[in-house]
Amino acid sequence: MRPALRVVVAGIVYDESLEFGGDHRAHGGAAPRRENLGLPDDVLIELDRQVPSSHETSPELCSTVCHVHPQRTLGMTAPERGVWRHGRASDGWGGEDSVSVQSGSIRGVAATIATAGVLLYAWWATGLRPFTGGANVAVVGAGVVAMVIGRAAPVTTTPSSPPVGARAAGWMGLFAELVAYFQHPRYEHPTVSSLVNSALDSHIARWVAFAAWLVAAAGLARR
Amino acid sequence: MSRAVTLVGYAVLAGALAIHEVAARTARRRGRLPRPMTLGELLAAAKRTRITWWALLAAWLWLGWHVFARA
Repeated sequence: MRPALRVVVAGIVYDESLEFGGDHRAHGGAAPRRENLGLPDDVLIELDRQVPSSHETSPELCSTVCHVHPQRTLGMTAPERGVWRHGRASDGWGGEDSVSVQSGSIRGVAATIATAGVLLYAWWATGLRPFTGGANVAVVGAGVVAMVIGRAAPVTTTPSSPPVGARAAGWMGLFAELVAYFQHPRYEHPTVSSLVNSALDSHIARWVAFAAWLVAAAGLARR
Repeated sequence: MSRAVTLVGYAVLAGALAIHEVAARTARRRGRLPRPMTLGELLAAAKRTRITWWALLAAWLWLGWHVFARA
């Protein structure tokens, strides 16, 4: 017997959660079809329609499509759940609640073209001679463009507690880096930079790393 | 010898970060509270204030310039 599936859709405005079981819609209406989702730990929620005013008053709409893991969602604090504002549950079997095939394929083609463009540009940029103006402009300019693009993306997560361990490791890493930096020869006292330079010696390695850096730049600029 | 010690030090720090990340993700999956932040959540926290967000962007640009244009 499968466990009952429960999904939480939370609102940011009031910091309240709306829980519903099975494939009930977010606004509490009748399910479109089937009595059970049949998926024990994963459900597709398309956040593209405003929930009636009994739950929300903000007219803002969200078009993000998220995979929601119920166990994880139920264990979250309200702020963690608060990334969803309006929603409806998809039964995962097509029909009116599924993402249209046409818009999905357009997005797929656009993503493919964008990926190819980034990879081509990264190959060209990492082939430029270092310590030249062209290399400076190609790298920093692309980083800025990636950040501008990433800036347009929607808000994603909200954290909950202080990162003590990560902070300590960061300070220790900085200390180790400084100790190595002020000692010579460099081979005996490698810095992170010198290790990275060695690792990225080949054009292919620099190409992949530069493309990843661009993608991360866009992600970092997202708010 | 110094090189080996330095590399071991970096490896220990990288391992500590990896363990921290795994522990944070495990705690999040199991719904434990309070729990440590994942690195992604740490970044998200840093991005919440405008000044740290700009500092992050500047640092990331500098890193790319340092690694890809000056090496």
